Amino acid sequence: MATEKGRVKISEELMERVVSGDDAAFEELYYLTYRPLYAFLLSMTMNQQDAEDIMQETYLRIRAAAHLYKEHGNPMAWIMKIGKNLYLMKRRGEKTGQIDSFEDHDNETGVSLDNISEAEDRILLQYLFQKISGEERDIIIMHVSMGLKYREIADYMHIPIGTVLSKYHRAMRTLQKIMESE
Amino acid sequence: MYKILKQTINRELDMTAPDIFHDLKNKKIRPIESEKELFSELDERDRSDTASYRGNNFYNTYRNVLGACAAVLMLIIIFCGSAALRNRTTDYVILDINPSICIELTNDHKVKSIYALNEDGKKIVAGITEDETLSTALEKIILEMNKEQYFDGSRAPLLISHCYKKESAVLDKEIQSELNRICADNNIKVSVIYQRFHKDKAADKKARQKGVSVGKYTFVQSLEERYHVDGHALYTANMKDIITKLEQENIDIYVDPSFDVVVNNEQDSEPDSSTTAEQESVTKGNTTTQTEKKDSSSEEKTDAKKDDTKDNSGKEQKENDKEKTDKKDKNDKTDDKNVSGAVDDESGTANNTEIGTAGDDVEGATTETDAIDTGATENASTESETPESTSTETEDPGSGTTESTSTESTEVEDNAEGEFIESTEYQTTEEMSEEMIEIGALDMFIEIPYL
Repeated sequence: MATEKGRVKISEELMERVVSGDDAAFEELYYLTYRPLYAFLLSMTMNQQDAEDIMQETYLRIRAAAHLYKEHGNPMAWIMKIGKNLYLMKRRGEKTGQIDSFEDHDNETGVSLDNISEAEDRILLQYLFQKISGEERDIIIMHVSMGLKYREIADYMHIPIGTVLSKYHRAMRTLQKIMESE
Repeated sequence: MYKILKQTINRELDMTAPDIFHDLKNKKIRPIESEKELFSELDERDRSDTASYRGNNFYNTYRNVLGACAAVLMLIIIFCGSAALRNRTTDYVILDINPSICIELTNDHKVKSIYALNEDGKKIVAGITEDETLSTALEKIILEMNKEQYFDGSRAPLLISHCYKKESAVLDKEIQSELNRICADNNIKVSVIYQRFHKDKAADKKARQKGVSVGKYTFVQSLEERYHVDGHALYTANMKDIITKLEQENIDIYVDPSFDVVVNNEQDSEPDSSTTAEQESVTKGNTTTQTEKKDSSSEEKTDAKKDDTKDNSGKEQKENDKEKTDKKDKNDKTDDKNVSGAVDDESGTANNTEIGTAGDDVEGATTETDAIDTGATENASTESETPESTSTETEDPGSGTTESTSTESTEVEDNAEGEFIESTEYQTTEEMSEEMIEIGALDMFIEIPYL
């Protein structure tokens, strides 16, 4: 995994290659970003199949609209923006019944993590999706998995940076206590 | 910080993510030409994308709705609260003759409600709505009472009580002027007794127990205090019977100065100019009285007005007295004056006697007024009595002007300390009225506009 200290590093040179239609560059971009993007989409959809569908559509759009990418900061934010737009489109389709709706979600029970064979490898994620609120979970994923800075998260979520910090630390303390008690 | 925790989260998240790259290879790609198409949903939602986050969407909507509801609720509370304050009853005008009727007034002297306090009153208020001004409400009630022949031209009085939570001299004047106007416009002959008092829950409760209005209760209480009459028999009687019973015991509240009552007997429907002047004096005197009944906080504010009023009425009255006295002295008692003037050189006591003889009315009035307002009396009595002394001195040049003046001042001070001089019997009704005017310190007065 081409991350450094949890931060996804996408170079502008790589993006230029993707824009020019280089398949190898697109593959490299995919493997750099698909894990944090999936976590981000899973956090929003709370459903693995929906998250997977949106992730696939996201990469198709990245390829189709690569020429629209403008160099402004972190390319990960641009990818997240495409993913979120697709999520919202799907939600609206669910409400209006125009397109295939999401499968039934149940935020109370959390996302199913059966694809992780070892139970001990999914304990923390279970708590992350069950005990932590949606906004706090998004912050954790954006910071820990995607490597976005607090300022970038605050800009993206349109909330004060102080709120981002307090929510992040509160959620992490909760998870820390759970881990220590296990 | 949270290093292990971060590593664990990343590891577990990596395990959940499926690799779908091989699927992407097989998908056909439709070129996207514009950002609008790429971010259609986000463009529509503008920057509210964060607010539309899953549960956050609901949370923010809920919060916004809750805030709006709270704001609306506050506006309603403020509006209703201010409306309730405006509509709060602050004054009660109670009319008693036999029917007892209460008019509730709001803070801005608008009629809030009109209701009867006894069976007779129900007939009177039957046709009166609450959408009345005080003026029209009073007029309708008075006319209805007149229609029911409660005003029979006798001395049966109409008792009007102003029960207030917050004192308002403006409202008092309005009530009195409206009553005068109504009686004048409709040629109604009625005696009107005004009384005013602060709202007292204890008095209200006792009045209810006795089945009478608080106005009548307060009035009878006053009679009990003044005359030690049996109030139990008076509570159930109508106003005419109360006056009759008092008269049977030789009590006439219309003329009895000890009851602090000013009687204004207007015998003719078209009073002459002198009577009008007296009427004005009476009004001033009553105003003074009501001011003195006020709480201590408002007394200071009205002292100046009160003194002015007293001085004015006192000056007018004493000038009249002086003229009368001069005439009497010149015609009948010229010799006596000479003698007393001679004695005046030797003792102040003789001078006092002379002044008493020459102007009983003045002296009596002065005495009564002293008990109320010493300052005003000193001014008034000095102005009226000094010319008398001067005339004496003119007849007897030997007497010292300075000495006689100082002697009179001493007399006034003595009076102020509590030496009350009994007023003498009145020779005429006019004299009596003049003294009533002079007193000017009454908590209750009677007007008989067209008796």
